[in-house]
Amino acid sequence: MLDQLVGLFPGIHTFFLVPGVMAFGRIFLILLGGFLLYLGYKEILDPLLMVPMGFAMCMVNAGMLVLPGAGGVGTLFLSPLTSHVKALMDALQVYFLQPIYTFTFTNGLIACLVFMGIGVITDVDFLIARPMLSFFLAVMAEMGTILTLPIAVAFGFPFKEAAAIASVGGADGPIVLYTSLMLAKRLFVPITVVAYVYLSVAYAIYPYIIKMMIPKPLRGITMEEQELPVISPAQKFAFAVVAGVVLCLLFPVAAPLIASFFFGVGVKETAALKRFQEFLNDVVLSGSTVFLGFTLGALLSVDTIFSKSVFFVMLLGMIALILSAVGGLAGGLLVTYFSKRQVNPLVGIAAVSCIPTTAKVAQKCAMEVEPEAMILPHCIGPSVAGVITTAIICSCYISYGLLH
Amino acid sequence: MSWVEALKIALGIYGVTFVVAMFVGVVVIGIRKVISM
Repeated sequence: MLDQLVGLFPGIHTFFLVPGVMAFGRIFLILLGGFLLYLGYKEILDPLLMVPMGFAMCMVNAGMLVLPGAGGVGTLFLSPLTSHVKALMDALQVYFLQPIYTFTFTNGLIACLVFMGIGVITDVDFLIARPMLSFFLAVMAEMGTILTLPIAVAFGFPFKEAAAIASVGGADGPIVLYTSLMLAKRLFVPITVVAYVYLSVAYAIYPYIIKMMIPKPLRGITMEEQELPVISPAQKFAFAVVAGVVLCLLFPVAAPLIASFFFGVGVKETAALKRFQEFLNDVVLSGSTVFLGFTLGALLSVDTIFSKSVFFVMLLGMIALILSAVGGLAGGLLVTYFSKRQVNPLVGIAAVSCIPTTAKVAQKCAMEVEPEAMILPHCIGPSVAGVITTAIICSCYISYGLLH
Repeated sequence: MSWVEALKIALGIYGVTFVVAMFVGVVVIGIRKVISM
């Protein structure tokens, strides 16, 4: 009778087939997935990613069963570590998310599709209007991407894994995904998940860093009276083509990402491609974000997450994002000083990228001091420049990591 | 690899990033001037 019941509910039976720690780990991850769902549903964290990720995380840890061929307890979601051709062909026929993982994650396609969609919704006016200011702040806000590398090496990670962890400091999900796939497949899941979760958390932590670093009178500097040159669609289109070609030439290892982003920007600025704009925004960006979130959630099974190195990835990811914020704000203070208080220093934190979260944080903090302050448009340029500088640093990491 | 070596590499990459970013900035200014003519 008991055997029949066990056969009827193998998901429950598997709790008794694994060590106690793993069984409790499964329960913990189901609850954690539920918590992410709650935060996403209430829009405390980004719902576009948290809802699919939370759903898949709950389901993958609940839906475990004995897999005779796989030699133990597993799921029917996907098998991320399969690489041998024959095993891969079998996996493609067994695991329902395996085709998406194999054909879009392992080659970085999903990151490129997201980037194409981001390109088509990115406004490059402010970057073109004030390129030197935008790029200076963006370079300053890469402090976390740079300094986390030696810190991670000091923690015992090899160069490639340390570089992949450091890429979290760039605060750009698709680039982190791409870099970790290229350099640290073993840690790709925790690094990417940490990046995406922390990018939402940044919204909560950054205001405190701002208040600690920037004096109140400087936070309230208004920038409305500063006129920006009008940028024509032709100038923006030419920028997309030239900047894309130059960066692909300099960093071919990141050419798929760079090409996708600038293609998106080019499509946005071409009036005749209205249908492409709608397709990339409505279908490609939405579709790739859904499968990115759901597949990442499905990768958060108990056997992937519970390890010592994951704890360090979480710690170092947080250090990277805090250092980048500190660097961006330091750059903002420098610009405020040299411009004789014409530029609000909060623009610096927008250069951490993470469009548009950090720009919104800067605007919110400025309005708390001066309700009339409107710095959001000025934040967009550094924010877009931040994507480009992160791509440059990560492509240097990938090139160096693959060569050595 | 020691953390000191990693720091040297990271700072070197930071320098490269700064130069390339400024170069792209100059290119952007050039595009703006050429296209507005």
